[in-house]
Amino acid sequence: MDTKSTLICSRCKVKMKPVEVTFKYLKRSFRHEVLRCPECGQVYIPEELAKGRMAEVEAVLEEK
Amino acid sequence: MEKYLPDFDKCLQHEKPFCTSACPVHLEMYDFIDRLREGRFNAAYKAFRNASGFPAVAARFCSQPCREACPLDSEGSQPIEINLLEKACLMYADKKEPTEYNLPVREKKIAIIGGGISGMACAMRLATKRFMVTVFEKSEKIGGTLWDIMDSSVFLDDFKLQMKYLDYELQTGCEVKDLGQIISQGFHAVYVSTGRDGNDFGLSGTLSGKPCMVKDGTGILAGGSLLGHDRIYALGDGLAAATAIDNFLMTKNLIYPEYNQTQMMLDDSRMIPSQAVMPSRTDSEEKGGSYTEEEAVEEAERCLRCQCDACRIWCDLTEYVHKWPLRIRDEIIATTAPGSADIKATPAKRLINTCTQCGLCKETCPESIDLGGLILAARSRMHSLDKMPWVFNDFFLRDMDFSNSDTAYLCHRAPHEHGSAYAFFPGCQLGASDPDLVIRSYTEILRHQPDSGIMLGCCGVPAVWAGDDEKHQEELSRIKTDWESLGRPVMILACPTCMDNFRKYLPEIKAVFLYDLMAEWFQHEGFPSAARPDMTYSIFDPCPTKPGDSVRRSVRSICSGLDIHTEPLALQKKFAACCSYGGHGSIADPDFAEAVREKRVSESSNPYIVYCINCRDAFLGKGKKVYHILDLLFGCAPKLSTATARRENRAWIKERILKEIFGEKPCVSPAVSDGTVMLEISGDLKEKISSQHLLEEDICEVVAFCERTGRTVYDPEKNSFSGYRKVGRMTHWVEYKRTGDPGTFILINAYCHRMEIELEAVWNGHKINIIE
Repeated sequence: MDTKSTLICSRCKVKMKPVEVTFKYLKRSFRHEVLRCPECGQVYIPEELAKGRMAEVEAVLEEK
Repeated sequence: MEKYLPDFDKCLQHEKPFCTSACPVHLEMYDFIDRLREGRFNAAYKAFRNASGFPAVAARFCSQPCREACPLDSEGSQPIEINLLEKACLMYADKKEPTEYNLPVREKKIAIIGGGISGMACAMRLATKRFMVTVFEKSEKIGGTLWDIMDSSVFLDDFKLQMKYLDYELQTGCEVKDLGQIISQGFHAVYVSTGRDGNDFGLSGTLSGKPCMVKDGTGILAGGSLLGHDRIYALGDGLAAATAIDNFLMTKNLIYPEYNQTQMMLDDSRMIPSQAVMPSRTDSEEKGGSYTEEEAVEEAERCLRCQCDACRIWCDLTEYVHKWPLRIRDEIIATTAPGSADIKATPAKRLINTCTQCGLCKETCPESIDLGGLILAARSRMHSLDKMPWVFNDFFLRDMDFSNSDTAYLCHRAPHEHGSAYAFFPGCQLGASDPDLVIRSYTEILRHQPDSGIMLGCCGVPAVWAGDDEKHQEELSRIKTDWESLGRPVMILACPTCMDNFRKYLPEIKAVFLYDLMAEWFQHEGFPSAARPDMTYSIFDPCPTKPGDSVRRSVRSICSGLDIHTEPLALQKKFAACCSYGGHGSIADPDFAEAVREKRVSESSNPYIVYCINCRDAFLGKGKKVYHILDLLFGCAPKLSTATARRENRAWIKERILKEIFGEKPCVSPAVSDGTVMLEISGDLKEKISSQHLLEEDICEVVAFCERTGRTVYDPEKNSFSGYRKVGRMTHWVEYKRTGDPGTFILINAYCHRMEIELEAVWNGHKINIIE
């Protein structure tokens, strides 16, 4: 996971922190830790995650 | 879906090869040859022994009916020397000891009348199964006529070796004159193999016409040279009789063994003529010499390994997934069965959505099994069960919706005419790739046929390929209504896929190919002359067209009119394969689509001429030199358009045709973006966005949304902002920089994911309205 701690939530002006987020795809839910604003819950998903691990899980679920 | 299944029972995948079918002892040739190819003579010997019972005897007197059955037995070619290979096994195998099975004795008595090769083979096979076997031989020695044709040590040694661990009783000098004599001794089955001119005990005149009967509960059957069979068939009869007796004793049903002819069909492309390897060893007793180990392996390698595999040769999908249609059928049945994927397998979910729908499976199959039809029906079933992953078709369905939206769709009567005898239907992709091709084609049509209206839109095939029958019907009714409003004109089509769709689903609409008309028009008035490099091209026929179609001739006649030298593609003499676009499988399996494109462009180094714009774009994307026939007629340079440009082009065509041809002002602004945000996007990034099937207008909207709501993440190191928004069902991410101008931004990156970020609206106990 991208651990850039320098990222800042534009709305709350606080640093993003790794927190678990729930994802849903094709009627299935699961949790994964990504950078998230501790105040408003804004999420950040870097391209490496979207095109890497997430894409792998997506491909597996598409075959279920 | 069910209507496609019965045809699969006719599949010839499991038919025996010609040689095995012709072989009296049914030697499993795949096993035998494969083992020899690997130089495993012991294993090959075992396969031969299991089939023939007495391998040394069989190899010596086999009349080789396999030679005539071998497809290599044709002009300029020689059949596989199976008999020499069998003899090589006997020479080079060093483990010939039979297996000693520890089986319980089966309390059934079997009489074998006649101790020739047929009787001994039957006795050996039944004794192996631990039946209580007695061989009655009227002379003083076993072997029958084998004494006359070979050295007795050959067959006596083989009998001894193969029956080393077997118990059976041999009564020599004992002639059976009456079957009652045997039945009264409590025998449960009898095999009569009394040899040529021997006693048949009335078996040749049975009511069934087959030399077998059941008398007082005893099963009796005859075989071997008693029935006039050649020695190797007599051996085969004995082995088959043993199986028939075993089955009879289990089921009380006596079925006389029959030789079934194989139904195997071998695709012409598999036939590679070759000459037999000449045996170089002359130190053995064999008259013609015998093989060295290396020669035997070389001869085995020459075998075509016959199998009906036209589907695997021609269908890109079966070849790519390494699966036979029967297996694919089973996987489809499992996948489309009701029930959750948590409790059952869904092995074909991606495969169903990968097929290109080219139809070659059915066209090339000797039994015309329609695998493509089953796959399409499976898509429909998956859609109705709500089990289709939306992502496989979402982009294409949204693209179709755009083509048929007010922004791009147009249905207009011929200029200055009340009705239209003809109407041009270029399809949604031709103009998306190059709007000039549509406008110039329509201008040309109007010049020759001024009473031609126009319909710009999609034929609805994306809904067919998505399995969405309801949506497809909606699209068809729209076309039908508009066609009627134009006065039921003859439709002039430019896209082979549209033509296929019209023929299948709109048979009441008469449709002709644009290229048929153009060939005729230019034939009369002369073809345009344009400077073209002096080279040889190959015409790539799109998969919906068939060999007899007039459009194939028309395109060739246009090429010849344009003075273009063409030569046929080697693989497309009979069949037209798909460029990879068909079936819309490129999102479900991009690697497969890529492999298909690669295969197609590699078929010839000549530049291609196509008459389907999707073929052109698929090959252009691979860097292949390729022209649409309209590119050549109008002197246009082929270029690839991004997904965004394709939409803009469609809107632009509508605007331009309304303005320039009909002198009307477009009612709907063709602008595809709302214009609140100006994004500077580099060329590379535009391509990246397009390759992910994303649209720049959607990206603009995401940036506008981020700016409006302030929901962004700031990266101080790069001085950039990142944010996301769901567009349709896809979550789009953007990374951008602000400029001095508040409405203008520089896009740094754009990507997407299919998963949905859940429960973000509720955080720390309070709901955050992310929609503003």
